[in-house]
Amino acid sequence: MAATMEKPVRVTSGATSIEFARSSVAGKTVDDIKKLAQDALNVGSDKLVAYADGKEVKSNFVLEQVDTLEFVKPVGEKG
Amino acid sequence: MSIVLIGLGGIGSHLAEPLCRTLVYTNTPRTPHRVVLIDGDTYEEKNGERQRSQAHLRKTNATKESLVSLFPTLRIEERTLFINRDNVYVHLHNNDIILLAVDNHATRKIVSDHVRTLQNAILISGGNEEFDGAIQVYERENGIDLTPPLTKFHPEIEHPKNNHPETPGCMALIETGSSPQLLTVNFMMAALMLNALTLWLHEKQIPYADQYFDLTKGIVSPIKRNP
Repeated sequence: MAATMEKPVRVTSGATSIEFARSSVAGKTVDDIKKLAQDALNVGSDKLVAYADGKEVKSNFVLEQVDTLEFVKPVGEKG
Repeated sequence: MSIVLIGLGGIGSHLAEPLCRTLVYTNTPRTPHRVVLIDGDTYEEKNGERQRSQAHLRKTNATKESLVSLFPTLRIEERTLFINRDNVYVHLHNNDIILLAVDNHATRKIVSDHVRTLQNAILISGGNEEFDGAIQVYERENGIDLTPPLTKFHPEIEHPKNNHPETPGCMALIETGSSPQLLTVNFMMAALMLNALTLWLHEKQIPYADQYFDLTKGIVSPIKRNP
């Protein structure tokens, strides 16, 4: 019998996204995830508002059962 | 019902002609045939590599002149001014389709706040940096937000750092602190804005509130948001 594949947690910022296994995210804070994803998402030093499954969360929020985490990147200003 | 294109710079100057072509060749109940062009600025030599038209001409005059002969069935109007809190209600009305291609968040906030007072309207805003950018779609129907205002998820628009272009000295400040822009990025921005409009004209749901792109990675990503 094939093992059931767990749906990964999708972490996004702007156009870029990466996926984490649930087991590697569970129990970690938003700030922990930001550090893990800082190179891939280029979110290192920016003060970005975070949304877990569409709800705003603080940097010390502990992730358990979420499908998505977004660090909302500012939209461009020029035109 | 009008389409109002605000901003005729790097994005807007490339959006104007395909926008008119789309209106002429799109026969749906949502398609207006009146286009209003708004910008208070003139074209400058230094932006020649990524903006249409000649330097020193008023953007509205030059753009309208280039469009009227190509699209005689459209009613094209020009308004040479910057949108501000005192005049926004004069130029943007219920049922309007607003394409916002400006270069400052202060104007984005003014327009978004005004759209929030309208019963029915759709606002498609675009802004970019050197290699990336995003469009935002704010739609209201029967007084209800179908997507969030431009300000809701974006503190940089809710509390803009740069002043409105009419503030004395502001244009110089904006230009001093600005990063360079590329023609391809302005094209991409215009294409994504026109794509969102095309979906809406065909009464298809626009499946995102924000749509980010990053041309260094070749990525376009739609983001859904609850209003």
